[in-house]
Amino acid sequence: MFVQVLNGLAFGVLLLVLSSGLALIFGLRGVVNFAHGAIYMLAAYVALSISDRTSFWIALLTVPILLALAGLLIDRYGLRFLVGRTPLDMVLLTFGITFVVADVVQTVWGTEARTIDPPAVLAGTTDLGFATYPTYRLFVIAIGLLVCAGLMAWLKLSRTGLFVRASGDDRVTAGAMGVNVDRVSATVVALGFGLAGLAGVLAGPYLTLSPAMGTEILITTFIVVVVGGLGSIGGPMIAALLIGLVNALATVQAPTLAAYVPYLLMLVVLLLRPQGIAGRRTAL
Amino acid sequence: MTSSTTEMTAGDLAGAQPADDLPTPGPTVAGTLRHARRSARWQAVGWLVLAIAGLGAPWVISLYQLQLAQQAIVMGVLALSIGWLLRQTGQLSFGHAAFYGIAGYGTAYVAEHADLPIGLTLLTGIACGTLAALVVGLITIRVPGIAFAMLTLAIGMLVWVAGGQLHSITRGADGLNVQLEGSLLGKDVVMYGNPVEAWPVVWGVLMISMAVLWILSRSTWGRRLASIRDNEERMRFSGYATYWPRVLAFTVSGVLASVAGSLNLVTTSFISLNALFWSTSGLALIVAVIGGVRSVLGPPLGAVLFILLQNYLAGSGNHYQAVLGVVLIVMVLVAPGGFVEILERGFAALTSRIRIRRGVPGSSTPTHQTRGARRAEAR
Repeated sequence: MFVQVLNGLAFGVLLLVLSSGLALIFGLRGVVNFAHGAIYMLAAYVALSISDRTSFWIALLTVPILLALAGLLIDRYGLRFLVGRTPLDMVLLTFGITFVVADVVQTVWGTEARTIDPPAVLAGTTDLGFATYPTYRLFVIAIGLLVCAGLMAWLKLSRTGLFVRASGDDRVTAGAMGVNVDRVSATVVALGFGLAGLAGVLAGPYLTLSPAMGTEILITTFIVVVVGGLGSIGGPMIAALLIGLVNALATVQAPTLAAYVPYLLMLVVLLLRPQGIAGRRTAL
Repeated sequence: MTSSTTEMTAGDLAGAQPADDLPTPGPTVAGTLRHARRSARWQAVGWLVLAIAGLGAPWVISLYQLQLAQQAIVMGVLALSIGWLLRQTGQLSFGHAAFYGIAGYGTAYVAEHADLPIGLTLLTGIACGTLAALVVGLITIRVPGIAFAMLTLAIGMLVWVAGGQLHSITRGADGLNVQLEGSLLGKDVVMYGNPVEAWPVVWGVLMISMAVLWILSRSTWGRRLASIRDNEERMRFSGYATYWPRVLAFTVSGVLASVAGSLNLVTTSFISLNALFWSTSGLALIVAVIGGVRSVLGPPLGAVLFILLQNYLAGSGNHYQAVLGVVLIVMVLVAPGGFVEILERGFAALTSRIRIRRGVPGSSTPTHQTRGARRAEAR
């Protein structure tokens, strides 16, 4: 039972890192980033190559930065042109990116399933007193929670965080008050892509790498963000942990129903409360 | 066609877009009416010419190309259903794969377990898909914007998961080979496995779908839908029902997706779980946008372009995904109205040049619109 809870927590934390990136980009740019799953997959594959040549730790540091840079480029040469267009156009643009990334990954790394070996320190299991548990998953939980705590603190306490929240609330007013909204947006998109990159690296030794991994988790991440509340950051964090736990427990208790659980949860939440658990405004 | 031409004029006047360039002094009511009637008449004539010319395709193109065209049309009908819903109600559905798949599996199930004539079997399948669309529409249609897209996505995925678990009926990812029996439209239904035999039916379904949607968009109901899309609250405030017209629109769109599903089953005799996966809707949506959703010509045109692109690139190392992605990105950035918009712009530029050469004054065409106006119109 405890092991199941920990499994749920580990998956939940992965969703947490991934969905806070998605929620950030949605909150500020109004973009439903369909490329998020593809970016996550790309990060996992790049981390595979880097950790094969050097070490996992270097991959953990460099991959999020590389993807954040990619995010900057996409914001500057893609999303910025679409300000004022319908959200649909953004969906289609990121959809296009998904196709390109999927093609690149299949061309460079092939279609067979791969795994990243965790570093030696994290490879074994840890005795927690009540159960022994893979050390790497504990590491994922720790890093994920740490990063999200950092993100929350940055949003609530720093000056840039204030600008981010202001621009998310009302882009025009924030701009009129002297906030450089374009720069804030670029920061947020880069951060979102960086977080997707981090999730990809963390998932490498934990899940299996395959060209389908992005699409699979993308839908779950959407569910997390929608259930948590579009436009909020804290809501998706709670929803991510919730869905991770429910998913892990349902897999053990009611295996036939487990596959339905996330979708049903989303259906119920959207029908009863279209703005999600913590969303303040109705979705665009 | 002519009766609908006269019916639509009042609606056309009401729906005349302010972004359409208004030369000073403003156009008279009679002038606008005349213009709308004339353009509608030209579109009807164009449709008729296309419908008749298309029937001759088997004599012009090879068997392989005909097979591709048939694929494109099945995809085009699905894209048409999603694109029409998007244009008419502004709502983006990722759940149409469910109706497409349910119609297919419904037909297959009835064909296997009940001894109905083939026509009735197909109708039952389409009815299954339509019923599913009606139920989904009833539940979801009030949800606005992106949340609607996510909700339909969730429902579509629920159906996909359910399809995977009902392995005894769907045979999962391995797929189901269906043997249809009986005589449909004077031919044994097995004959429709041959593209040449199937072509008149396939082409007919596409052309009729296009015509029906074209007429529906120009009906009072279609105009009302467009008004609800633009400002739902105001329509409600003005005393119009806003719920049922949209549910009906969603159902009509579901009927078309179901027709595409049945058409796919008749022509290929095969269906697999892939038909229910959300990427089926996603791809159809992309195709519709590349073609352009503002015209009923757009989505099928997009499907043809997609199949051509896929097929042409499949020979050269299978990079069609990347090229498709790039095409989509460029299209969204440069021509939000899709391929149809590019054609329209080209046509407008051509006619204005001809008029200038002839020295006809006052022939300002949409080419002279400002970029801002064009963008506003595209929205």
